[in-house]
Amino acid sequence: MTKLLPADWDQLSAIIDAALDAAPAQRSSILRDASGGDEVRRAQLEQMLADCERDTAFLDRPAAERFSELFDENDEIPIPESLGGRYRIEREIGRGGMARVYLAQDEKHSRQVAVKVIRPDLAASLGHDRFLREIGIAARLRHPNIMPLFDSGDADGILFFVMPFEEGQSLRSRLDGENPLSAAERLATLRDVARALAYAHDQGIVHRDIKPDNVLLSGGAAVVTDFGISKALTAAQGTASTGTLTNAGAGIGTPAYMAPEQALGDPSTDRRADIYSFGCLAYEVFTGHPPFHGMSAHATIAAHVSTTPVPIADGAADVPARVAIVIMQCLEKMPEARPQTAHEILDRLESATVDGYALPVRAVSPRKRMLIGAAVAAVAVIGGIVAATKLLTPVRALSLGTSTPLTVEEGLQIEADISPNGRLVAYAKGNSNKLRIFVQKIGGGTPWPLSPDSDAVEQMPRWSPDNDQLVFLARNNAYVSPSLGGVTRMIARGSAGDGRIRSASWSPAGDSLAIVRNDSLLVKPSEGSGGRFVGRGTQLHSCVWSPAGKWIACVSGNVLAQDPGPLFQNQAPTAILVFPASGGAAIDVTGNRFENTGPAWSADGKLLWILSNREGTSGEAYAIAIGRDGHASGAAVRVGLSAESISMSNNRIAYSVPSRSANIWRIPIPRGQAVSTAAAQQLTFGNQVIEIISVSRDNRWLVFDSNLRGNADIYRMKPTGGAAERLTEDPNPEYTGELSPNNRELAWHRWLNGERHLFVKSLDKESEQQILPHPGEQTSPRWSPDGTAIAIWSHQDNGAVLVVRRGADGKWDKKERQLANGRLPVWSPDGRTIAFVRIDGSVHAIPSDSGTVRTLYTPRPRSRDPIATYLLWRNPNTIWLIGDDASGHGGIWELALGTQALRLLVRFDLRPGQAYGPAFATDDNNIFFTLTEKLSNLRWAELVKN
Amino acid sequence: MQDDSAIRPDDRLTGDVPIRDHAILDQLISLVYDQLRAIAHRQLAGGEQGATLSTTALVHEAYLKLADQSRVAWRDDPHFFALVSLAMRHVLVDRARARLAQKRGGVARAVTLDEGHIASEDQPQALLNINDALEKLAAIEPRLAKVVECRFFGGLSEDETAQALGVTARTVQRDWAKARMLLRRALVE
Repeated sequence: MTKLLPADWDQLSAIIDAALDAAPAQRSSILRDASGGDEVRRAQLEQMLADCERDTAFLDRPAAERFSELFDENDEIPIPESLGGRYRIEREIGRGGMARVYLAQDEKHSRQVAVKVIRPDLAASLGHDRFLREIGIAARLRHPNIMPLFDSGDADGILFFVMPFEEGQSLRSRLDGENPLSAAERLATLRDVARALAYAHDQGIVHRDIKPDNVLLSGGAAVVTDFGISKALTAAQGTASTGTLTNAGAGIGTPAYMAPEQALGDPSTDRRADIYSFGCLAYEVFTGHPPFHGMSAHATIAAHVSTTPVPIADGAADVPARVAIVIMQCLEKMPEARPQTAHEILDRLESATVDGYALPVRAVSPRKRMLIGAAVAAVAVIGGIVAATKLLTPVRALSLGTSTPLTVEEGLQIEADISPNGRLVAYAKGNSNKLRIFVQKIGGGTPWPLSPDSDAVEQMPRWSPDNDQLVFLARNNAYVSPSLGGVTRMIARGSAGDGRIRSASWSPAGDSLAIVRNDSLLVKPSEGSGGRFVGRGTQLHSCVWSPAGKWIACVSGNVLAQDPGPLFQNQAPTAILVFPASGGAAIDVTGNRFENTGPAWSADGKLLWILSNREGTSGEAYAIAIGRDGHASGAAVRVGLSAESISMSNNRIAYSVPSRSANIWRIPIPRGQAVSTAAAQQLTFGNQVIEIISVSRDNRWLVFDSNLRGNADIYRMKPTGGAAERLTEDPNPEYTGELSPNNRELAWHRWLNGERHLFVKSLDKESEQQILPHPGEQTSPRWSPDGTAIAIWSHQDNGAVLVVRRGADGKWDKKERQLANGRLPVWSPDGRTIAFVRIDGSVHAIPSDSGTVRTLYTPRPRSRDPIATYLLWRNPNTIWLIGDDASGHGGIWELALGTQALRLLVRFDLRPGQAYGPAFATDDNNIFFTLTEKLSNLRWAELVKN
Repeated sequence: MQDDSAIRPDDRLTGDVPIRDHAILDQLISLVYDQLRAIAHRQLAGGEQGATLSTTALVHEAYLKLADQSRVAWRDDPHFFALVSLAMRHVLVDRARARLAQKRGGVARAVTLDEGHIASEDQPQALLNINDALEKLAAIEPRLAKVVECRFFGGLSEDETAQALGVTARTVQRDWAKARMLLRRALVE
């Protein structure tokens, strides 16, 4: 050990104290003064100070935690010299959480083997026969990347299994050692592990404890050890003759690599848990540490359940973009959101090369993805009034009586909440830019406003249990008002953005409120200050207490759909999370593959009603039985009601029934001053929703999607008007059509099982072709001017611009090429550049054969610059963009490239309830755009017990 | 199995403990030992979710247990936490020494301390190295060593350490930074 303290420590110590106490900016001058021109001394001080400030794990974890194995009494139980009369133990070569590994001589075959001995205390809790039977299943695996199992047995109560002894080192020790993996080795290692998983999963065998310790690097390959052991341990637990019971499914696994569902002890844990663990391992291979590290085991497990990992690209500069994306997808909390098989991972890894294009892609953050998922093209609202009287599908002897309108007015009446006594209903009324809370009696009478009229957008009324007060959201805050009118007081203060209060609802006892702020669910007293943290979830909102106050159910995701504005009532995948009101991790009862909203509890608290598009129809109500543990205890049962929001109290249900129409309008391109849409002409009519429009390159056709026949299809018509010709007829919704430059082919996306799939077809032949074979979230295909390539917006990769090309043989490449993160690509007139927008409204360009992204336009802060959401590249020096300016006023602008000068062309002067966009187009004479009218009325019905 | 009663305060570590506290330390050591062992058992057996070694919880639990058992004067003494930390240090050091003695040819070897991955067989030596360095530190900068004892062995927060040692939290922050710097130099570099 070197000398502990420098000779003049006292002096140094005082100087360091002074520097530590000073502001960082002053520190170097303190050190300079203190060292009196002695540069060596100053360097010494600088170094010491830097060491003091060093962010380090050194001594950071409490000793008892870090050295816990000192208390492991298994060490005190000796291992016999020979096991099963065949394996002579030579020495211990390693140990893990569940087993010791010994080098042994296999005396039958005269070879060295590795014998793993299950820890005695763990073995005591296992049914040995069951364990050996289970492990026998894993012994069938034969794969070059899987360590084979030679033998297993029970030697006088000592459980062991035998594997080949391979010279080599574990990935763990390689990662910790001084010889880092090269870029090629990293990819090769991950490929080997993925291959092992793909093979074993195909055989129906999961690992459940994938981590660097279980990967052996030997002979240039990575070999996964211990396949099936965790499963065998789990299965054999609780079958011990000693009667020792432990939680099945729980506890096996290693905190740093444990999938959230494993951490929560979900017994249905499947191969996708391996895929998550693989993601953790891969993350560590690139960044040097797993996604959650440097904290206690407990905190690590909690982080797996509820913390979004830092994008891998932030911690590792050299991770290929595609690999970064697939790793971050593996780390999705919901098994459904991960790659579903290791083959998918392998596809990505195999197409990645070390020297491949490295892109400035930030990896997927669930939060951002939700935001993008909420954007333009996702909407598939089912129009029309839902069958009102045939709502009689029984759910556990429960059905709806006759449905009666509560409101019939124009505009929106939404977010109904029935009072606990079932006599009153509160709701938000207005349009997509302004809402106000009204209360009315069920069964008749004039509605009254809750508070004086103001500019505030009031939303989400929730009754107090005594029927006397309502809490609602407005101006980032939550307020409470007497339901018959009176003084409104603020009860929870929020701030703009994430800090906005996203939900406020009374506990059944009335003494506290559940509040959502910054993705945290809090419970605060309804009088006075204070409060406590309940749990965390991505974009929580619309929370409701179970009747007994034990659970709080919230929607997670698509939070911007709650805010009046362009994304209002948009659709995107969301999950229903159930939090224990006493605090703790959320239980996901739906997954976020589909849009799941509007939770409402049945009176007995046993059923959670949700609205979901899981079977393709938006807003279908389903009842999910919730068990005592808060988990869904059965499949979701369709109720037979379609709505945008629901509320139940005292055997009554109130719900909002949405409808919407969007038609195409046109206005001549202004020569001089901007024109108002008040002067626009309506081009299409009817109860339909048209979302995305485009004009063919020769200006002959206006192409659009429409749900006029009940289901969105692609149509074309002359830009001057006339009959529309239907181009697609699939029963699934289809959007974002664009004709090829020669007008012979159509590219578009089809909404299939909750995902967007890209297709191309020739208009003279009916053969269609899915141009990207793997399922994904591709939309907005844009033909290159020469028709040989298509640019795509992928929702899946955090908003990515992709290009897929067609070879001379007319076949599309199987692999797309990712250019940049962004959305809604457009080609330059010469086809050499692709411009796209980002979520902050900025516009960027990248060479279409890849290269460096350059920024064409960024809205200046605190200016009236528009937030671009959709582009047209008009000529080499001009781009048109559509979007809102800072005051929320929509328009279409001309952007001069180079000077960044903006000129307003079209100003959207909208009536209440109207919204523009998202797309626009031009045929060089007119500008085409869509205007949406949103409608929603309320209805109510009795809940009838059969 | 080891005889628990064999664990006794190590005189080298108790130089500054007042005589009246020695009996308490005895009690604490056996209590802490039992608990650490029980928690470690649960944790290592893997059967119980969340049975991680939360030393803060352990210290508080020790406090409650002892407070229940007697009404002696130290009950309200903030130095109590410092004593528990010392007890934990005793227990860990004792275990490490016992473990090392069990090993055949227990040769001291250089062990890395820089990250959490200390191979199991290296744990006893790693802990003893830290303890040795801490003893040396205590000879020159006793307060710094006490801060390490509370923060590292006791698992106390900065505020708890400040209370236990009767200094300000800011002093604890500075001392902790300096102590880690010095120990890191002695042990790692």
